Amino acid sequence: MSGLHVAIIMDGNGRWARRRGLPRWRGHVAGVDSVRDVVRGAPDLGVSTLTLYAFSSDNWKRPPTEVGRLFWLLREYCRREQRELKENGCRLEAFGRRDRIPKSAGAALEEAETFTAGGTRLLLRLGIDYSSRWAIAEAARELAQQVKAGTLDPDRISVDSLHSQLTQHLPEPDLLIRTAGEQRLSDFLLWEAAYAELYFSPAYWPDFRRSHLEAAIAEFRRRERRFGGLAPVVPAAAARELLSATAEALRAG
Amino acid sequence: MMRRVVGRALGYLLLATASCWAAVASAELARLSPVLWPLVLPWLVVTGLPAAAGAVTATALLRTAGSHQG
Repeated sequence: MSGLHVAIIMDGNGRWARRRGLPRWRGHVAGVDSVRDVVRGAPDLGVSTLTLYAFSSDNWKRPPTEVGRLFWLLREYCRREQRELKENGCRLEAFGRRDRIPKSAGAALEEAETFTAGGTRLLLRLGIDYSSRWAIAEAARELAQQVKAGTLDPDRISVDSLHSQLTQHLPEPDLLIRTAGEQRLSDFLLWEAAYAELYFSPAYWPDFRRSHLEAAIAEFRRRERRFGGLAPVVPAAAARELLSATAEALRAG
Repeated sequence: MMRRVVGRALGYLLLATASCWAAVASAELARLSPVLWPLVLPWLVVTGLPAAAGAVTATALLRTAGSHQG
């Protein structure tokens, strides 16, 4: 998969519902519609990996009824959408902690992951009970265990080794979008988004559609990505091609 | 006289509430993809029952008030 990796912090469901005099969970239901629309449209916009922040570890602080509804929605989404995801060549994959989510949601998630495993058009990654700080700590712990077991020399621990442990060789996000006008990362992909372009949309997530994603990608393509360097200044698309070619060359030895 | 006025006011209030519910519910359904309707329909039915009962009561109240007037 060599297209764009877009990550989205889907924010504003509750506020969207409140504005309409609806309970918060109805905003989450409306948000599922946005997920469907964005997932359908993403491959045509050159996106090969779409990472969605579905449930942050901080969301456990919400009232139990809302948390219950969020997992109910996740379960329903997996059950109802897996067929369409498969037909559209999407592969669903969840990341984050699995040990704390309700069993029925976990089972539905696993079933959808298995059912869509052959998808090659779009990798849809759902962050469930995810915390970036937790993920970094987990990666560090794994490296420490390798050191303890004698399989890793502490002097060989580097940015690259931690990066590999953390990302499992998945591409870093090129573009990180947050909806509902908030401008912070909220413990989402803190390491992986080091060089991601940030895009903040004022639209609440239930109002966010393919057209909004298209506008964000158009803005991304206009930006220049230097990855910390000074020159040559290359446009985003060219930078991606250059990086892909370099990676290919390194792999080929 | 007083009873008729109160009955009519109550009837209009109930009718307005039921209409409001119907407007919000239909707007919500119109916005959602049909595939997601089963997720909200049970709740709409639960909240719709009192709204429907209110509409029936409102119609009866307004009719009674109207027939007394006639």
